Amino acid sequence: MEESQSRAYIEFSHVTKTYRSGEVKINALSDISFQIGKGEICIIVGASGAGKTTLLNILGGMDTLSAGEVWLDGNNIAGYSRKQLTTYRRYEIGFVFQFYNLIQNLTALENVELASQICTRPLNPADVLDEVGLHEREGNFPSQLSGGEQQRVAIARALAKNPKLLLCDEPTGALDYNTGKTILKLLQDTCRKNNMTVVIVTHNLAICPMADRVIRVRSGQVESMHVNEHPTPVENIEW
Amino acid sequence: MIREILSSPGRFLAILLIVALGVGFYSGLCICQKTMISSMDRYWNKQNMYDVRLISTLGFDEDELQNIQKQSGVNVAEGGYFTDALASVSDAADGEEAVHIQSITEQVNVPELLQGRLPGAADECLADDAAFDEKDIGSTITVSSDNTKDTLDLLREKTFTITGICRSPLYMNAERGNTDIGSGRLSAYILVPQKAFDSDYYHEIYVDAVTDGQIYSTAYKKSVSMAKKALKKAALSAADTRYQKIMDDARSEAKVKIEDEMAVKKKEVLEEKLKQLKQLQTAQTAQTAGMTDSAASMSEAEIKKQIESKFAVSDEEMNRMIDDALADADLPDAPQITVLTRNENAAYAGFDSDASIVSSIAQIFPLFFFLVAALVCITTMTRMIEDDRAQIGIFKSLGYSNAAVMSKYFLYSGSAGILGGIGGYFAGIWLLPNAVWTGYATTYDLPGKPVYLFDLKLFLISLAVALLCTVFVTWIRCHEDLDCEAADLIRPKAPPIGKKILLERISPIWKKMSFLHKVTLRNLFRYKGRFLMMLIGISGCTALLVAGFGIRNIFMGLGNEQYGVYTLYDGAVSFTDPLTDRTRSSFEQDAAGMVRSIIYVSQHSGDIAASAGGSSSEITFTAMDTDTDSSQDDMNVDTQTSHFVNLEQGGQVLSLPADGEILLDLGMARSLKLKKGDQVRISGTDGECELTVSGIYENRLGNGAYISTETMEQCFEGGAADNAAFVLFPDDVQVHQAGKELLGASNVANVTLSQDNADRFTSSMEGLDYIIFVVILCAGALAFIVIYNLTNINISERMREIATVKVLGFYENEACAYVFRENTMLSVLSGAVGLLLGKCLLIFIVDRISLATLVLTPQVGIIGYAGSFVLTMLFSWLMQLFMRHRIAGIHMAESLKSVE
Repeated sequence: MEESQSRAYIEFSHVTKTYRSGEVKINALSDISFQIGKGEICIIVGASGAGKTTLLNILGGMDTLSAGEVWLDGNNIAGYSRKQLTTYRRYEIGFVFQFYNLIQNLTALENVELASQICTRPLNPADVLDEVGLHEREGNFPSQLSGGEQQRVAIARALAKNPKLLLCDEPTGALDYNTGKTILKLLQDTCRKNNMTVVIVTHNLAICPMADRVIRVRSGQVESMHVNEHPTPVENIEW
Repeated sequence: MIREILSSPGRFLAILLIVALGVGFYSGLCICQKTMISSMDRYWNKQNMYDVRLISTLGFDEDELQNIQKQSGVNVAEGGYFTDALASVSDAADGEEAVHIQSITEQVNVPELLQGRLPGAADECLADDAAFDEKDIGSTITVSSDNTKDTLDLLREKTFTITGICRSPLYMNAERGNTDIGSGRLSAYILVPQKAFDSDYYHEIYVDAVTDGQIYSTAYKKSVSMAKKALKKAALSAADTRYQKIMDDARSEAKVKIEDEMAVKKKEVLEEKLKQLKQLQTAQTAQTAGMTDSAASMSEAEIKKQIESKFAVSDEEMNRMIDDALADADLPDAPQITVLTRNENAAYAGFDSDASIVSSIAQIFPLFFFLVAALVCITTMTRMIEDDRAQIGIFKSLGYSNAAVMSKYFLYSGSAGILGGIGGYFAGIWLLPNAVWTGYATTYDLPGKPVYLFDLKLFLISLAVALLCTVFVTWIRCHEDLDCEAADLIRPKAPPIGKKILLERISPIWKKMSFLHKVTLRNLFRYKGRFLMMLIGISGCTALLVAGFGIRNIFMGLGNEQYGVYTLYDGAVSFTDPLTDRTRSSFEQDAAGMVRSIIYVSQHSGDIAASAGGSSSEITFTAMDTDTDSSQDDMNVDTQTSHFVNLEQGGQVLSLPADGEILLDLGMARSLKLKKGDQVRISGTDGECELTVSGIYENRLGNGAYISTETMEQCFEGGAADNAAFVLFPDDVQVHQAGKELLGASNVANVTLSQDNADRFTSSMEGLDYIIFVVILCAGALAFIVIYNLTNINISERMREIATVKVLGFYENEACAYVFRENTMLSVLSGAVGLLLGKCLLIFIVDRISLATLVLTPQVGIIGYAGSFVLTMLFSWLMQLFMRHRIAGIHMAESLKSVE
């Protein structure tokens, strides 16, 4: 779905990220540019070390860029101060990690509450947990939940913030095939239902069909970008 | 290993510092007493302070001095002169003060010249460094004409120019002593050349004897006791000899006088009789000449013979006549020699017990620090091992032995321990004695720096303890972990599982709590070990502060408490001679109007000991005269003792002792271990008595006993007569002015003001502030180290959590609060516990500092508690401020990358 506005919903424009270690300079991202539309599921694929996570981190305001511009819904976050980036993350971004990163000392519900507490227009934590199918597991601690359930809590946590953008870094990386599929389905459904933009970073090419847009990244540059006219529902994909 | 240390210097330093703190305290406190005594010993040896001081009622002449010098066991004997006189300083507007004037002795009690030069001429002097300083060099001290004739005659010079400022080994204390003149207190001493005194006899002889051992040691005491006996004997025999000579001289003088008189008389009578004979010869009859027949018939020779025999006197008769003649003459009594040792020197007497105060509290503080050090080490090493978990697993799987793997950690903690131990030891034995030395410098006039002692045994013990706290603790910790299988170690350790805490079950409370508070509480209970450590560390800090403030509170308040609550009279008057009706009435004539009310007492100094056994102490006995009326209408002689002294026990007023009873003060009772109903034996100049303790009254400073007038009479000559009085001044007068006026009344020897006593005591406590400051510093250091260590570990361990929370969008404040909230809660809780602990600590310390002359009640006061708590919170908050940047510095992307 293309935007009729001059700028895309999400736009990376000539973004470079350089790490300096003493004398050595490493370009994680070299002059990268792409766009993502609102309500799209976008999958970013590439081999390990290609720079996908760096890309996601910059998009999510967790990392700064060395050059270029990053636009989300008409705002350029490239020049944001640390505080501004925090605000940006707080209200606009929901993050899902490969290793869940739940707070061990809080129950599932409380983990979600943690996120919803700091937002301006959060969703009801219990409802969101219910949506991800964990109503009975509200009062359990992460150590009492399976991998899949934990990831669902993480997703609920991200969703509860009612963000503009959901970023997922290898969300199924630690999960088995079936559980992984369930998670992806959840992401797909949520995206469609709430018209939320979802960006998934993965090294698993097989799931590309589920996306509206696929961006291939290699050695810190965009190798190819490809729009899917008819994305496949997750349950129909086998790998 | 060096890399390991450098990568996380904070950890290494934390262990090092806390070990240093513990060792420093331990070694410092242990060595304090020794250091202080050694330092004083060294100084007194350098200045050659006397070992024995001889005083005779007859004074000493040059021969007697030489006699003493010749005694075996005597190094040097030097004679000295002294007197107390009223004098004024040239530029001072203050008028006259009582000054002690002493002759300079060159080989014994050598004064230490601080500024200026030694006096050369007889009208020059050295001045007391406590009362004078460099700018007074050149001023003159003028002996007032108000002094007694005897005093004025004694001094050849009446003005002395100060040529130098000195410190005398005789006056190491701030006390200059009491006297009979002026206000009763000596303000200063000056040292003058011997030739400034005009006296045939030395007033005193100072002896530097051959002695063994350091001051206060048994060896020293023994050698002095032997010297004392020998010297007393020698001095007495020489004095007796001289006395004999004086008496013999007097007798022969008297004899000659009598004989002369008799000769004159004899001559007169002879002439008379011869005249009569002549008359007879020229007259007709005996009757004409007015003589009897028998008399007339005597020849000249016979007359002479008759007169001879009439005037012949037997030896006995002659002696009697001499005795009569001498009875009226002003001859001295048989000489009495008083032998004094250093024990009679105020500074020497007090220093021993003062020096021991510090070591009595030495035990508990270091113990505490070592405990904390062990805890810090455990947590730090645990953290390290956790971090290295995977690495350890790999080494083990590669086949390295447990010992090889552990060695790294032993080296780490061991080196921190040893460095901390060594550093702490030297810092401790330098800092603490210095602090205490400076703290005592207000009470004692101490020279420069203390002697620094290196005690090998102490050093080795310190190191051993340091190693125990570090390496041993590490071993315990390592042991646990390394027992695991290598495979287990390589797998990441599951984080401690979340659990519902007890509080959650109380749902009404739980529901009401804010979400983030719930998090905090759960976290608190999750890491119980750290919870405990923080509790111990912070409560220890608070306890230290409470104890420190408490000590200050107690001591500062003693003076005011004693003279506000227990000793109610404004002044104590001592009379020149025990009062007779006549002298009392002339006193009252002068004093009426100066005082609001007065009560007469009899006071004498004697010894007291428990009848059951034990040492005896010197104490002043007072008998209150409750039935004297005044001779003047406007002189209010009060017989209500309770207006002057508050004799109470536990709120109940005690009645004055009856015959056979004694009322004793709390301090002395504790010191002699007496309670109501016990028997004591008192002895005075005239006798001994057995008395029953009828009551023990509360006091804070000083000692005193009350007995009945009959008992006083029994034990002291003339004890029934009043020789002192307590007075209350009118409300609107200035006490010092009133005291000075009263001093001028007839028969008054001395007026001691309660205000002066209170002030003197409080000012002597000023050195405490310095010590308290050191305590605060250490408490702060303790708090900092503990909090830093814990927070550090906390943050390291929860890095992912903190990163996650930051990713979620927590602002810096919120992220910090997330971590620190539990610190704050824990600090508040620990602080509260610490307040309680502090009170216990204070009670313990007060119990250890047991002096007969001070009664200490452990009270902290609101300010003490509040101050301690606030300071603890301040330390906690400051540390948090310091750690904030660590949290801010957590890189989200980095932290979240690692395998969970």
